[in-house]
Amino acid sequence: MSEPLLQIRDLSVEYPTRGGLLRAVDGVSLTAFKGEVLGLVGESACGKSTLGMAVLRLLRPPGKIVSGEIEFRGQQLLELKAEAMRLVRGAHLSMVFQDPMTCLNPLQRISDHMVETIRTHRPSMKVKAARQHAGALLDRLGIATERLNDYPHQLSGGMRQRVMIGLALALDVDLIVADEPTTSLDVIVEAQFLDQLRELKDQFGLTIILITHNIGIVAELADRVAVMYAAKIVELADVSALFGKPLHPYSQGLLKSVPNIRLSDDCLEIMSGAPPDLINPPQGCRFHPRCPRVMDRCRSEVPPFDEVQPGRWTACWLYE
Amino acid sequence: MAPQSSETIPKAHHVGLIARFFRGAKWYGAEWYITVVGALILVVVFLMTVLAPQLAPYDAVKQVASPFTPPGEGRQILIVRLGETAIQNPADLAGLAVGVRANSSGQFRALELGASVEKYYEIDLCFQALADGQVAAILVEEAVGPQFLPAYAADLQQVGEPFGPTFLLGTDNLGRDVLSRIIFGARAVLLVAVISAGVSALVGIPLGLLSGFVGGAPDRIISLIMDSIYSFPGLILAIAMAAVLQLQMRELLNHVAQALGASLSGDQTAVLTGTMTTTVAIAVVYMPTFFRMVRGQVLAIKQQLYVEAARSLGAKAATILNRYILPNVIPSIVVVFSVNVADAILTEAGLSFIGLGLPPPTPDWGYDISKGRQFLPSGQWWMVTFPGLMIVLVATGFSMFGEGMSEILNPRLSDS
Repeated sequence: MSEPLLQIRDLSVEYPTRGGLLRAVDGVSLTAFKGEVLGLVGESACGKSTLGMAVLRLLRPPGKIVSGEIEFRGQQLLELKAEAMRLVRGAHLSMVFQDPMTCLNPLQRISDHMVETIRTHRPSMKVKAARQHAGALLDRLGIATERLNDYPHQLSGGMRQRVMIGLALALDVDLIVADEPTTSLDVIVEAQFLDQLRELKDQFGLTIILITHNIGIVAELADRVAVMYAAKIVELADVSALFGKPLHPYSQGLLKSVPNIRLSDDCLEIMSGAPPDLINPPQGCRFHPRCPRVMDRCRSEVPPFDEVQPGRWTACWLYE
Repeated sequence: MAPQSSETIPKAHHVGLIARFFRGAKWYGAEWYITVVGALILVVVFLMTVLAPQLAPYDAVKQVASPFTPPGEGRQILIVRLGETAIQNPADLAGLAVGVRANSSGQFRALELGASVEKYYEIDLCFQALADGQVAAILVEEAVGPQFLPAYAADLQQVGEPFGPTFLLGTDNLGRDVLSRIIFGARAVLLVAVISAGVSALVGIPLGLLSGFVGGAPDRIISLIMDSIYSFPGLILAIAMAAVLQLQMRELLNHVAQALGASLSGDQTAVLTGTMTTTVAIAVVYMPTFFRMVRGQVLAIKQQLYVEAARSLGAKAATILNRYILPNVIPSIVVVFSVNVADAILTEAGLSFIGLGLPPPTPDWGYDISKGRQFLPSGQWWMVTFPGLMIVLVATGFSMFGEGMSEILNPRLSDS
């Protein structure tokens, strides 16, 4: 494994709500190595998007990082001043969002978006040079250079998503946080997009944190996968290991709940229960109310997140 | 969203703003016509303000005819004794003694013709005087004179056709031409309305942007101030502001005049004070409208994914405000501005109506309505109706233009 690019240590994010403090991310530690695709899966509202936003320090108020540290390229991101953090975003670290339809300013041409992003970080670059750079980049992404002059509404969803990637890649970024980048694309465009993402990753030596609830995409693209449940990471493993033999009962349930055409309908297992309330999470292991293999210990003690096999981490008493 | 590859999307052609305007009829249909009609109304009204001295048939502040001349009337007929041959047309009256009803259009025509005027208080008396030989001729209203003539048919006769000007929109209670007052009045109304809406936009928009974008304590403080202004009924606040500001404005004006070494006559001071007072009073009243609209829009746009995406790419706060938020607020500003000008016209009229606007002889639609209103019950409808229609017309023009422009300026609709 190559050197770590991003290290998240014991990160917690809280949202004050009317009902009380909501911990959307609770003591998460995660490392992304250079050049890998790290999948982050989990059901809706488990905190995976919040984790992604926290890495860029773009949490919407009143959300706040309350503890932990984020080390990126040897820099402590949480200690940076707002202005210094702004210069990291876009230059070294950027994000691709879920909905390409609304990601671009409807009143700016594609070229304005690109040139603006480039010149924000390289003010010395002339507009003309920036445009050329932008055109070349779009060309590489399979979009005709003339479309630089288009407004976002003139592009299709897939093209807009590629423009977003183009924006994220406009400078030599090291890490892209992709938050459900294909959710609003149809399957054909999604497949093209994933192909392209893989290609770009190799060309640019990118590291990608791929946040999704789509297990299929993770299987296709990710090198390692972190499974998140109720604000905590419950399992972290190589993609083949996880899909071959998931350890944590939640991962097992998650994989079984993916529809598979080769199995009959009855085999689609649906996990009982619902994700817990994050304001008052269950005592002990957060999964215990839904866990098919629950033990007494699970109800009172929080399982530690330990390396149970080489390269496989999980938080479950079954493997202690 | 349907899957589309880059080949299947037809290339949209880009068209400039001016070409877009002319192609508009085809592209936008109803909106284009609304905009153009609104713009035409505004152009006509603006031309009216510029060309007022050329367009207006009379002086707007002088009595030029009989009070309460109905629209389309005002022509005089010339009546002389039977057998009188020296007087064949109105020009022959110069130097002669002419009998007229006091304060009538005839009096003004006679004076214009260089006759010496004998005034009588009843038309009857005019006829009597002529029959008795006290005057050489009399001038009477076309609408009234012929009714009296039969009684004197043995002595008097009409000479020539009715002559003299007609007053297209009639005259007011002081015998001033309503049309001329409307034409000159457009100046005061538009000046005050546009400047006051401009001032409130210049203050309200930046405050709204700042408040919505920065949030937190500054937002609360500015919002509190603006909401407290907004909570007053507009006209009441404008009245209070105008009443309070009048003295200050006069002093300010005197200081400025002194500093510039200019001397102002009493009338000029009064008009300028009135204009400034009304403008500032109205500007204060409409500031919260801009503020609230802009702040609300900023709050909504700030949540848009494209703003978040810009942040994730390291855009500066100033860039986000200038290039992401402001351009997306502008269509609403255009609409609110034109609606506000329309509103300001009404408020200005309201202020003049209760006497806090421009000082009385200055032509002003609102003031004319308030005066004319007193005579509505006695049947003189034209003093209220025509200035009222102008207010409606100009307010509608601004609204139509604003609404239409907001459609046309929207780039989402700009491709064919």
